[in-house]
Amino acid sequence: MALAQPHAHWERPVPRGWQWASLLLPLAVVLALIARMHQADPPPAIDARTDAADNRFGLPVERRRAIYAEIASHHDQWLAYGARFADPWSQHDDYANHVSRHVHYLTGVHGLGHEVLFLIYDEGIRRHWPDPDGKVLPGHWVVLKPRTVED
Amino acid sequence: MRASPIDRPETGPAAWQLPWPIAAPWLLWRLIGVRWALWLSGAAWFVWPRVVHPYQMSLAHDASYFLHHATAAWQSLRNYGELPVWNPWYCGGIAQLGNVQDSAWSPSVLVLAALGVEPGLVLVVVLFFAAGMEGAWRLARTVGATRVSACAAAFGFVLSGRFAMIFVDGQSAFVGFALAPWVLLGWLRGMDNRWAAVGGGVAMALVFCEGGAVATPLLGVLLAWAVPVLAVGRLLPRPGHPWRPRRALDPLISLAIVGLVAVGLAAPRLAVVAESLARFPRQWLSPSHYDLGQVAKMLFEPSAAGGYDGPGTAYVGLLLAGAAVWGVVRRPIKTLPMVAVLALSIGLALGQQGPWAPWSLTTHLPVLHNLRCPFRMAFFAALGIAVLAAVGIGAAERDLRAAGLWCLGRWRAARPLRVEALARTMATAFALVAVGLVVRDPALFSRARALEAGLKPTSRSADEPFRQAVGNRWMSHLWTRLGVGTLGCFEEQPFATTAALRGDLAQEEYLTDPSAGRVRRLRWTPHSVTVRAELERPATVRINQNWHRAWTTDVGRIVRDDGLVAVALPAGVHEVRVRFSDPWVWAGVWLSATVAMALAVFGARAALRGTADQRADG
Repeated sequence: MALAQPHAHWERPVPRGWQWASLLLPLAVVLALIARMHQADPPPAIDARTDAADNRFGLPVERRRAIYAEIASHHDQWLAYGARFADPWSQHDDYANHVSRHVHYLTGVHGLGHEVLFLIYDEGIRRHWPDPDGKVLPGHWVVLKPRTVED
Repeated sequence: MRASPIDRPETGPAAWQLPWPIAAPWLLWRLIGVRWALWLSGAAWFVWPRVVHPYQMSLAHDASYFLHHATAAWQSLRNYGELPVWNPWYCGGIAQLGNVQDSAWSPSVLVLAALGVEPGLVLVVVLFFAAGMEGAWRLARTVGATRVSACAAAFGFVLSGRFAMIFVDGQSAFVGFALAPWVLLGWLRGMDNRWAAVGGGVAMALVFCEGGAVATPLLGVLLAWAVPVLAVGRLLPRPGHPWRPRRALDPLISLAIVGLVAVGLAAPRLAVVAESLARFPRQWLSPSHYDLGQVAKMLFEPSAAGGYDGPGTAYVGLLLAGAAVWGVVRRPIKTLPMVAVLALSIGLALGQQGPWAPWSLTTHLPVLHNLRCPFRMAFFAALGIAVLAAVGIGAAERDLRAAGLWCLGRWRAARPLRVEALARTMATAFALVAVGLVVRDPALFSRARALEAGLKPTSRSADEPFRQAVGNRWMSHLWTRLGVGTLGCFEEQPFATTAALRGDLAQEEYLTDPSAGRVRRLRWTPHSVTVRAELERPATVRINQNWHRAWTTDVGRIVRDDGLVAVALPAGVHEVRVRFSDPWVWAGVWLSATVAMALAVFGARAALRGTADQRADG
């Protein structure tokens, strides 16, 4: 089971131009890739500041509250869906999946990005805005307990 | 007839005879080589849409998870100038370095720091793929492929279906699998040259640091199973050599060197990961098993809807397999190590197929009892097939050259040099065409599958002051970019988190007894919080992050308050700096630096001794 011994490459005369090409060509490819990627603009940053009139993301507070209420109104329903799991973390994780999908759906409805919608969701929880039933979403989460497939 | 290039002794000046301005680029040439341009171009072709749109990714759940962790490391390093040891943006704060899936201490983070997260991730994939191609090429050369035919190993391995699944499933940390040929190469050659085993250990350390929660144990298991097989092989008598039973120990010694070097170099991460896993073992899926037909379909059936582990998810194609069979037929002795690797990979990929299956036996071991997803062994099966295919094409290339020499020699016996050049050109052209034919199918299939994952814009950033939010782990990458922590999170091991974390606080640092005074944040970084506390009586300041033993304070004392990190302070006005500084990490850094220096010193000595021997030999 003898492996082929390493060949005596180091004794092979190599033209100096070939040596430099072996360094410069790979470097050129990497630089070309970097240059090509730099032609793409990163997504613009979000201005998340709130102005004196309580506008944020260019949206008045009433609109943000309405968007938040639209998400929060499904809270009980989504939690109920998660009841098929025995474990509380799994239930909440399932709930979070529904929130995520609904936010994705709302990006098309409101023409706002996921980031803005999630920041509005965060703002509603933080400012204890009520949902349409007058309830406030909890500001905590269950502890991390990854499920196995069984629970 | 001249000997083939692989057997032919080469002549010319030795490296030590060259002046250093020539020797230095020569050494780099040996390390890099023009073919790297080919590998880099091939890898770039595979991910080209991502090069054109670096700020778009397939945002499958795992992609969001890995992008989150990469962004967290980048934030710490780039925006705060801190080494990424603690991740305050996830689960209320977890040990980033202690997370076995995290790549925060991989050298690839430097690429992210230089280019930004998303373009950096694209370049990291290209570099890993290129390194994987070079490793597979060298491995194929070691077992008898020619320079041209070894390209089949390079492209056949890295452009196989499992690497496309990195984009489909979003598991960017799996690029570490691309370094598997280097580990195998180091181990195989390390049986005769211990320094090669050291090189294998360096590669293994890189695999582990690149979020190698899966690649490292799978590679370790494969090598451990291959040790007895190769030990038996080395007991076989060799013509012209005395029989030495001690040779049977070489596979084990080589693997031990690979392991020790990897442990030594990855020490900063390994120590914290080991502590973390000891306290919170990973949660695992149920046992899984596959029959031989399913594994064959993964490798050979170009199904469009392969799913997680279905047909085509490790596609290499039948042409590559046919060439591999030819390689085994033509070079049965030289290819034995790779045949063993291939057979073991497939055997392990079957999973818990009965109590005596290799995978079942492996999972009886204490550390590996929860090993999962055996189908990922198909990474190594693809490598075995690709390398053997390269040997097969190489054998055909040599046969063709010999046949050409014989035929042409009879025809134009008067001009032997031209005849040889013609025969060589014909054989090389055949090898080029053959390589193109066998890798075309898996490359096109895998690239198309990787593109099916789609590209969606990644997150916009915001300059929000740090706070914890209820968040959402299904889009976890958003929160790091916004500068906001997400309490909702997912890890495969249950880190110490507390229900006392809040996602609706007016301020993240607060007094447990608000009537005792007031507290105000002065500065925040991922690894420190500085607050000003004005207290009328002794009180406890809570910080809305998980407690960890590595939290320290310069005033008062750190306490664990309902699972949160907190500082017990006396009455008065205090400027308190709470800092995350893990002594285990620094101990690991010292150990790693010591190992690296020792390897460098002993390596240099060995090289000098070798040079002296060469001088003595004339």
